[in-house]
Amino acid sequence: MTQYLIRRLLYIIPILLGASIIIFALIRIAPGDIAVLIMEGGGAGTASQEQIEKLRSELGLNKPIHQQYFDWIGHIIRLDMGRSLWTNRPIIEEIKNKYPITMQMAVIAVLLSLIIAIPVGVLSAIYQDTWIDYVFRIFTVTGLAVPNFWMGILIILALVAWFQYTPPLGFAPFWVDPWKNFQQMVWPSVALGYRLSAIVSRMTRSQMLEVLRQDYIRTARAKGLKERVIVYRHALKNALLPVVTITGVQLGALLGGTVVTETVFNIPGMGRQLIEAINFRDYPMVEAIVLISALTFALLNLLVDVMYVWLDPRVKYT
Amino acid sequence: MAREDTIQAGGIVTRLRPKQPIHSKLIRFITKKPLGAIGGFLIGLIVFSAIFAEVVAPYGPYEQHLVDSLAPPSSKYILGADNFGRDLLSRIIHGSRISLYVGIGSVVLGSISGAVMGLMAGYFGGKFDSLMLRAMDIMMAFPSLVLALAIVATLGPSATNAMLAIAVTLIPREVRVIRAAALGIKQNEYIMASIALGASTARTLFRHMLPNAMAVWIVMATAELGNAILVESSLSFLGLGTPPPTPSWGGMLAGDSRRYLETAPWLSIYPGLAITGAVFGFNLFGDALRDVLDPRLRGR
Repeated sequence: MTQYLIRRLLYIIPILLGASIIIFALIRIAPGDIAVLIMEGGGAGTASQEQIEKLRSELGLNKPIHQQYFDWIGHIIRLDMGRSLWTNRPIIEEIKNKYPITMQMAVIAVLLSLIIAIPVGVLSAIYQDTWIDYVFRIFTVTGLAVPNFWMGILIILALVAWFQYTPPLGFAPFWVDPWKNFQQMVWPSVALGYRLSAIVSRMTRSQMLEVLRQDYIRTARAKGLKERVIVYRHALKNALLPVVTITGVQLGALLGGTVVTETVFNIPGMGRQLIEAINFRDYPMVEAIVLISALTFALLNLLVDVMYVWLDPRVKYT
Repeated sequence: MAREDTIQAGGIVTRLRPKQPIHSKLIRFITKKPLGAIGGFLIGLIVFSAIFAEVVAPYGPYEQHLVDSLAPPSSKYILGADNFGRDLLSRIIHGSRISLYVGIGSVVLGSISGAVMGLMAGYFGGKFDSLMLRAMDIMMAFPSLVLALAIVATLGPSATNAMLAIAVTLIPREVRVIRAAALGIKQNEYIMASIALGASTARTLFRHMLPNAMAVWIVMATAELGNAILVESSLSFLGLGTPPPTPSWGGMLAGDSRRYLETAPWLSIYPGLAITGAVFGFNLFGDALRDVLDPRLRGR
């Protein structure tokens, strides 16, 4: 197990290096001179040649491209991601506080989704083709089609129109004011997690249906075990494995979804920061955030793989 | 070979199945797979709106009636008007063009390039295959929306750039699936026969391997369509897709509609409903298509 862990961890490194090359290339190979784009961003007026030259030398754009890349990587490894072109503060300062917020929302979203989706899937399977099943299936099928930002907008609309309630302004981190933080985080997490819960409950349902038809379940029933014991002690565990896999697969979509949800609910997280950086042409910031999200995604995938091996003793990774 | 409708013996060609008129096939599809038919109907509705937008929409998409700014739904403006007095229904009808253009365009681009690369990787194997797998692993290191955002950030916000960005995010998954299918197809004897008979690589690839991967490809492509529309709407919502004033469903849910959320909720409801309906339709149709093609998938 530890061997597998170490091997996987080592494998992440070349992947991230490759990813960093892609990010680096993407920004530098943008059509048009990047210094000109920054200075004249949004038609703010033309900049003088010497201003452009100054920015170019500042950004090190005059050096050969592989030199630029190695400089950049050297800095990244030392956790120096440069300065934001917009606020001129070190990027690491800007992101330090926003990353936990985004992660908090993502974690709550996943937990909420699973807590709702697995029981829904199980019940849907047990009461297959009854009205319970149909109601749940409508819930899941819409979950696959509804855009998460629209879900967020509808939630806000419902809160305002029906309950005359607006989430409190002025974001509060969890340790400052837990209740305020909860109020602010729960709704975006619901919007974010809805699609995941639809996917998970569909998978749970189909898996449970398959498992419940297996011979060992028949044996358990013949033994006279209570249905509840059969479902929860024997059937569920076997049905949950693909659920773990599919959650892992959907984590990428979830991370991407944080960008939109943060924009809708005005949460000061990394996602919203990315959008602002793109709009302000703050390319160092864009690079940094994309790199961090790739790193996070890679680590999360590793976590899911490890959990999968831990849950299923039959899977042997040699 | 895949579909033999005729057999030939002694110079006489005989039909194995009676030729079925197209409308009975349609009726069979509707009755056997009602959900798929509903999906097909929704898709047809959207395609129709996109093609005949000028005729179907009561007003032009940019036509302003400032005196009717923020008008609620009525007989004059069936779904209401926005803050510039533009009819929402007309803008939604015209917005279907963008959704279809980006949605279908990105899936066509991405799935074709991914399929070609996947076929080649599966067929050639060796170093090329390993290289391809590594490259796809690297591309899959990014959450798709983040990658699409980075690409659009580089190229600039426009419908075409959004289409390219989404196409790129589709490629890694496509390559993996088609490559797996290709590995399976390669085992078949007719491939060996083709090579033994001296067919060129291109011929073996495109004449023999490709048709057998079609079912998998179609299923994947239809599954991606709904998702592509969702991503496009997210990009437009974030201001990184089709720029205003061109109507796009995601864009219509951004900015002004949110400011007038309490006073003009219809602005935030109907475009979202359009997106949901479109994705819903493609999902239903895709599911039905998969069920139809699946036995053939297994048969291979």
